Amino acid sequence: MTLAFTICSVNYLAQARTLGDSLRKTNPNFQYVIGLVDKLSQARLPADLMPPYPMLEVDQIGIPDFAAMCDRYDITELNTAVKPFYIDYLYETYPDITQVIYFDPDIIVYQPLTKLTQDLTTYSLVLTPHTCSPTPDWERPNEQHHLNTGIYNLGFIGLRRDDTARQFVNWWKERLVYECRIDLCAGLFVDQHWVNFAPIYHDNVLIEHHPGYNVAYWNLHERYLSADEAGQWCVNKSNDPADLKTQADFLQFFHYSGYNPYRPDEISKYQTRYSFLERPDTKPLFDLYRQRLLANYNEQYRQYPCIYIKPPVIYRYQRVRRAMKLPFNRVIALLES
Amino acid sequence: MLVTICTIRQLPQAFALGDSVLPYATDIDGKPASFLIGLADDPAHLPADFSSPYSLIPLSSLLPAETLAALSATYTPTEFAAACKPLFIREVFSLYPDETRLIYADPNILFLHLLTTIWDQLGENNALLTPHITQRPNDTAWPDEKFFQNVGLYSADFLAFRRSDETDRLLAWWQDRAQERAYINFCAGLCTDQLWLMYMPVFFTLVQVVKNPGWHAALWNLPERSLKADHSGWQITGPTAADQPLLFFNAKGLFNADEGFFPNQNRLKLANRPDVQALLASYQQAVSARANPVLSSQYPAYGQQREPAVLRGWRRVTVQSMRVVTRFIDQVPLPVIR
Repeated sequence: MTLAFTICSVNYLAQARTLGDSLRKTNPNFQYVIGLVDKLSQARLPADLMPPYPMLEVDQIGIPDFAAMCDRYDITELNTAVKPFYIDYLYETYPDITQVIYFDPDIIVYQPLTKLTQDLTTYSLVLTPHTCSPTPDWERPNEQHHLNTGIYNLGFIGLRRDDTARQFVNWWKERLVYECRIDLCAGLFVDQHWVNFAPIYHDNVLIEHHPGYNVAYWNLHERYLSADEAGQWCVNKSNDPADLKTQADFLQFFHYSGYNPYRPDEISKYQTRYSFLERPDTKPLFDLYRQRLLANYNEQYRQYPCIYIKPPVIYRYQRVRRAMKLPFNRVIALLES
Repeated sequence: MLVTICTIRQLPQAFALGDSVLPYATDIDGKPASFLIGLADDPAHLPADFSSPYSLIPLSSLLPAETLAALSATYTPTEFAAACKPLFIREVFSLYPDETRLIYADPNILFLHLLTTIWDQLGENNALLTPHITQRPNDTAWPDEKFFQNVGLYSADFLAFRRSDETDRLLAWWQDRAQERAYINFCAGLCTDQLWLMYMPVFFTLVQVVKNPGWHAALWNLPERSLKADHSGWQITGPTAADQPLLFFNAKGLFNADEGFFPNQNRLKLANRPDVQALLASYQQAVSARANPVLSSQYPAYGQQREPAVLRGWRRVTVQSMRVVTRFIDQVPLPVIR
């Protein structure tokens, strides 16, 4: 059996429900679970806001010293740090599952994932690179950004139940207890950068180059979208009309990372490469997503503050701090010269 | 064919590399493999009576004068040599149209076995890469995994390429990236030509990552590998296989402790590793056969930025302690004064 899951707080339940709805339609044989980084007892959702999918609250999955982890991490770090702990919990709690697939909540699955489930009968892990070909310019994001944040996008990972995948998950868990931070200079970018090691430490890892997987702003330069006669979304590696029919693959899942349904003219807040004017092919997919989010009570869910959120730390008196550091920095510069 | 890139002061090591290959160096066709040195230095600085036992191609002859001056001004000598590597490899492929396979090896490398295994592996692939480490380090020593992420998980000290259209595309892309962006700046996601290798198995087809312990034994991976010598040469055991022939050894950071990315490493302790000591001794012997104090004292002409100082002893401890203090000053909560 295949289990798909996502992780989010209450404010992102519209996304998680949209993902769940897409899975129910395209992959009805999958079990789907929402990992909730929040407390239902505090949120007290009204009945119509209770998603029709099982939810697993993060404080219930036995993360050792979870309170300390909450203290250490901000909300982004916490949401990503718990990923391998969820995977491990799912392995332990559902003995029937043979495959676990993680999707970020802001994903829609468009097709039966037959290639993926087939691949997971042979491979221990399936990973998707941010981009399978060089980026065309130095707009954001480019290859240099992914060198700092991770070659593979961890909005998706497929895992089989086997020793290799379990070893990988155990190692990943150990790393994320303390080092799920964003500190690019120190080689850290949440859970994602660590996964560069997966194909080095393990042999049985599939680096998936199928253009229909994890389509998102970071790979639009190599993927062009179109709908076929039956209304199925297809991905083409070129936007030459001559290639459209011959080389298209079905879109498997689209990742709407950084999209804001209240700013429907922006592809993503994290990218500077394209506007919808330059990529009209993608616009219908985003309009569809916006519609679904709004129908799934996005307006209501987004009002719920996550109970694990902390006020941002503000370091005041920067000038005083700089002055205090000056003599130390002078000695450091002297010793390093 | 085998190529390396070095400065004048590294020439004795490059010659030792060339010498090491001779006994084993049959090409794919059984011919003696040729060895070529790319000189990342000004040939005018070579001694007047100098003659090289191996062919030398000055990198300055491959670059337009203004590009050479610009690269030299912006980079350190290490970055400069790295920035020129893809260009040099491409030029060698175009200068020697009959050569179908090429190995790039750092001048710190010594070959210890027939190259047949490498040629065979290349027969099916466009490029070969070796990872720095092949299993998680089970300790708290340095370099840790985060630092390997900073410098790149594959070593750019050994690379092998088979001539093909895909290899042409790979080298053109790599040159485009590495020539302009070979700075060592971890915060910006840059580290010489090496960090770019992370993309090779993702962007290009038939790029093989070789994890066999006999490939590329070095300072950074010897803690996960053990050596023994027998009548047929060095045998090595590592996480992925036991008793494999040691094909080549990289002495970077062992021969000259200040060289490479890991001068402050504390995982490999030579005192506890007689196997590594013996291997290093044979390397030192190979280089001393080519020792030339005039060459070794020559400071590199290209790469005018200063190499970062390697700190040891009290200097390092002092800098580390002061960094702790400055970090504390950055992060200590200060009360709001109204």
